[in-house]
Amino acid sequence: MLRRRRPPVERVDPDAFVVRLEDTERAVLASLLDDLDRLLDEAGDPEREVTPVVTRLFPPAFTDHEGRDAERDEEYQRLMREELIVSRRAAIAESRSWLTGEQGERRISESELTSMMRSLNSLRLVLGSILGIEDDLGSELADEAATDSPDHQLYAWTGWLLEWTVTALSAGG
Amino acid sequence: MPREHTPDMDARTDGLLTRASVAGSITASIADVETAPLVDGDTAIEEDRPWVVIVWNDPINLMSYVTFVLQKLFGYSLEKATELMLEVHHEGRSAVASGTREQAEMHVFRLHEHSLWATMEHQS
Repeated sequence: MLRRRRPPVERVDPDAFVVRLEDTERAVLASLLDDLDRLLDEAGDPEREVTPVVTRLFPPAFTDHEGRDAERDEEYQRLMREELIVSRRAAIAESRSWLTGEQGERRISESELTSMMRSLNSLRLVLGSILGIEDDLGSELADEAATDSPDHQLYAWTGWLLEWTVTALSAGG
Repeated sequence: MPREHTPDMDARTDGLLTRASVAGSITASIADVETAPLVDGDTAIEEDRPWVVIVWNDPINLMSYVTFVLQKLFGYSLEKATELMLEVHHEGRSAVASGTREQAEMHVFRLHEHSLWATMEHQS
């Protein structure tokens, strides 16, 4: 994927950012967010088999010392999992609203960019789980293998975009 | 946050988050609270002990992202957030905040909202 000279995300005002994504990139990101939205329903089902994706999206809330916290965690998940899904859905919806809007360079608010940042990281958790990344070495190998498969490319690309997003949000307004 | 509560549920959940909406008002306190020795089997005393919020290492998460989230959620300086992030990276975990069970639950929820692997445990 071609990389440009100008940052893909840049703060231009205290509460305004410019996002420069190609139309195809925006379409890919919107499609990934749709997939994530659907996955939240499936992964959020407490009856569903616990997979690495489910664990990463809905991690335990209590450190389990010899099972002592299992009951507390079960209670937490029962009450808070839906809350987490709603929160993630809101972030996805806020991102999709401008991703699927008019084409070209887009000016968005800090809230919209923060939602994109959260959604990008959720996407990376899913992609990284699919790629079987479980340690730092696996993460490095995934980055190096970015040209090998679409999943690797998406993992690297979302990481690249997330890095720029964090840089933009961290920059003083 | 519409959720049907019953008195029984409230009693059992002991203040479990009603509260993501007010999470922004909570500030972190570093885990430096001195605690009385725990008396085995004394649930009341155990519940009084502070809870510590732990962030765990996940190689998928970018170091810059973890640092930024710690700054954003807890109001830490860049230096403090970087120090905690590096502890996560090198030691596998870092205690990023402490407080009552309700505060800790709120912190954990907000960290989960940002897709960080966070848990809470009683301060030892």
